[in-house]
Amino acid sequence: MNKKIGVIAVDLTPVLPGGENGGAKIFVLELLSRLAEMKVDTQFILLTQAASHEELAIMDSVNMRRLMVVDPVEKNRFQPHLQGIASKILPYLPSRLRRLVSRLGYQLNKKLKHSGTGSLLRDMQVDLLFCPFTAPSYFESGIATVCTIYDLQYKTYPEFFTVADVANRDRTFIEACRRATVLTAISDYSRDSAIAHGNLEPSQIRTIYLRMAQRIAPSTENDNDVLNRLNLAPQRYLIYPANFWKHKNHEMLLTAFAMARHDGLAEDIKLVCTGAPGVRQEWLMSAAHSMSLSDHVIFPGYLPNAELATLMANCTGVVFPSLYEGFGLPVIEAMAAGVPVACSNITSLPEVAVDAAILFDPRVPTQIVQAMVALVEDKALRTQLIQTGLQRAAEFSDGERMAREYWELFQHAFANVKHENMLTGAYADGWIGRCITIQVAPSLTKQTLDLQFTAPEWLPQKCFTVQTSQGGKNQGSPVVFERGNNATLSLPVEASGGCFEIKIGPAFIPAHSGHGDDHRELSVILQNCAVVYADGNYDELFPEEVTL
Amino acid sequence: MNIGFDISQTGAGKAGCGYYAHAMIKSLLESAPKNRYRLFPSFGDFYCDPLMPILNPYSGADVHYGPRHIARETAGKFWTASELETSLGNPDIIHANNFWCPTQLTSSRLIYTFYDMNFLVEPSWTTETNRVGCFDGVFRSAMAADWVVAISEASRAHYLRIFPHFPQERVRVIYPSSRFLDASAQGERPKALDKIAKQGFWLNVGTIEPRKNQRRLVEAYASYLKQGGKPMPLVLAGGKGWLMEDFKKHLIELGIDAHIIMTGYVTDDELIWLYRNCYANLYPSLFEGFGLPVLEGMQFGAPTITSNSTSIPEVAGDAAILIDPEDVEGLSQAMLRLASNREERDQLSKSGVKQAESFNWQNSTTALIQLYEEALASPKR
Repeated sequence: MNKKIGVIAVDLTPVLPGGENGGAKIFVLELLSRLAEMKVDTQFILLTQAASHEELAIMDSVNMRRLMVVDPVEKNRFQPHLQGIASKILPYLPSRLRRLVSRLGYQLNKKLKHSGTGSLLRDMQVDLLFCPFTAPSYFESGIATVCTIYDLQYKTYPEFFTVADVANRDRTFIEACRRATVLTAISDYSRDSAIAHGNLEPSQIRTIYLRMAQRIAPSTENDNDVLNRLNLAPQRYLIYPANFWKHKNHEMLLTAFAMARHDGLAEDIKLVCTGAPGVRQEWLMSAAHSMSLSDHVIFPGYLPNAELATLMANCTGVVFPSLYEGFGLPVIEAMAAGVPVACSNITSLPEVAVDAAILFDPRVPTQIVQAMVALVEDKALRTQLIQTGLQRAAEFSDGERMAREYWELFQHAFANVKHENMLTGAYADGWIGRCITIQVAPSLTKQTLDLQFTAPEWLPQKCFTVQTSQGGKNQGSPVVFERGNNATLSLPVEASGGCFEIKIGPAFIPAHSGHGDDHRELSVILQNCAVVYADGNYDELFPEEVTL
Repeated sequence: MNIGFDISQTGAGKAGCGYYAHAMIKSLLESAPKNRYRLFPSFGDFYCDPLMPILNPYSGADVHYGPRHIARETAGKFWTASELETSLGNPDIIHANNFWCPTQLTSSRLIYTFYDMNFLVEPSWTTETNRVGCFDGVFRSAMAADWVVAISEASRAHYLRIFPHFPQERVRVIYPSSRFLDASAQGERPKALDKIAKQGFWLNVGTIEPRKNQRRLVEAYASYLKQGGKPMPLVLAGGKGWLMEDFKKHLIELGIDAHIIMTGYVTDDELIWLYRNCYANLYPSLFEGFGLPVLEGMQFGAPTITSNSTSIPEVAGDAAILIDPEDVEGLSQAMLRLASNREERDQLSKSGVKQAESFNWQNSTTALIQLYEEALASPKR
């Protein structure tokens, strides 16, 4: 197959406005800009949600455009707004797509993402789906798919997440493992965890490091306003650049800082904990207060990048006692700013820092104390750390290399699309939405696709219509059946295989019709789906064997 | 006094922490029955025993039970609510015993039992979930507890080393004591020791796990045998830990697996028999908050070789041979010496019994009641 990758769809629907996605968003946007610059012959379609659609306009370029596919807000309230946006886009789309988009405006406007229903990508002739936020929500069988795995923290520290969040993350991870042609991880540590937890073949997942042009440029002017405002003296404070998430281990850091002061760390050395204000920040501030550290631990709250850069450039060192990282970008950023770093020796951090930082066990406060004292007092070590740190940061500054590695991975995925029988659009419990897709692989013999649906007696709708299509063309007339009954389909398939789309309607949302709190949009239950070969063998696609 | 007391860990299968709370509340109810007691079957959302809410294990004239939470989530919601004191009936004292610690009390005096922080020395000695929960609780205690009850001087010193801001005078040592009230009990021979002569075996008590240091113990035992030590089997009495496979392999490598008897879990009666009839109790633990197996062995006359680390010297006094738990050869030398010196062994047995008598629950309870009164008479921190 010597075809080129013509169109790439990128799922940016998880992007939230502002800084809510943290470092991942910055990385993804940076990577996409570089890819678009590098591969001018490839079209990039960014799938977006309404909340961040406008903000992502900065990404628009000759070969990169946005397509809003999710409006997460209540339909009625925002219908005019949605239509407004749709009318702005529609004139620029080919007519087929225009129909699609207006249909999407109606269909996906339900706060729910359908797992791969429809043929959105196929209709746009997409060659590859890139899911930089892991979840392959828009997966379509037969289209190469690449998912990025950041970390599996919920496996190591389930107590830091809600039960629902753990279930959600797990589902995303399992889906990614199952659907992706190839996965990428942001460190070997994350790759190894994914292989272990996802039962993956090592060849299914490749490490591509975050390599980003210095994100926080050290400030060039001597604008020390921020230092004055926070009452900090240059070279007399340590920084922990992290949000106040539990795994960032701030309690242990405060404990160690108080111990260090007790052990004779210079009285005037302060500790700056950046991070967004909130309940956790308040708790840590009150903790610092009862530890008599109020004057010594500074919580500046949100800082603009330039001020953060000034703060970073003037600090004595960065101390990074995180319990879990998938990569640890702040460590590289500190090194790039020429600041000595002490960080945890667990998860991805030793791999990223190697010998360019003091490593300590973030669960052992005496080790953090030693590291802080060394950062402040050991001049020779500081000099050495700054030097090795700059070198280490340089290795991670090549954004072009990162983009190239991604491109190579895309090509690899494109050349290795799975051609296997695959069913998409059915939930694990058998319920289906308005549409399922079945890809049937080429076979040496004649084959048929057999399906059986059931509509329970209690459904709100009385009557259901099942329409099969292949390549956009309806196959035969629709099958109609009533609730309380089953429907059976048996479709002949060419030896060369094919992709079938089966639409079922009408749909309902159980939660809206008094059936529990299930918010999925559902039609009927799929009981069985199998590809049956002329020799009597068959491949059962549903119910599926649970392998994970 | 109106006393709120955490009994969340006193259910079936209780370990050291649960036993401390159990013995304390039993003794409190006997010595000071006039107080009003509200016992908490759930306390915070770290430790949850689903059976605890349906039990009424303690009774007395003025004994009441606090909320009975079955799910962790509802317990968490209740115990972190800002109106907690009101919903508990504004007790004078709230005594936390399960590592978790409330931080929102404004009038009740918060007493916090502190066992130990072995997980700050070697995190791999416990699971990560347990480590996170325990440290979180202890950290909160350092913010919010009015008084800390430490179970040994060593624990007290460690607490103040980690939290130097905490007022020293508010950390009080109140020792636990033996779980066995009848010092004359003879116990019951475990089946696994059918053919073993009385005073013809070495004993080690405790789950097989890195902190209990059984790896070095068996290395020392192998060296002891090699150097011609009297061939007595080594009995390991305790549940299987999480590195069991590894441990068994180690025994085979050392060529001593035939000399080791692993009893698995033993009953209290069997444990008493083992203490009464061992040649000596070997307890080279790397870290303890107290060291109950040392005290309990001594109570039943077991001569003791144990660690010179953490709290153990306080428990053992001068009634045991103390060794460096990381020095394998030191331990095997101590064993060789004791094996060939019957007189020293019998002397240790006697002095051990005497040392054990210096710990009793009555003294501890008196100290605890005094602490409650003091806490009530002095302002919150």
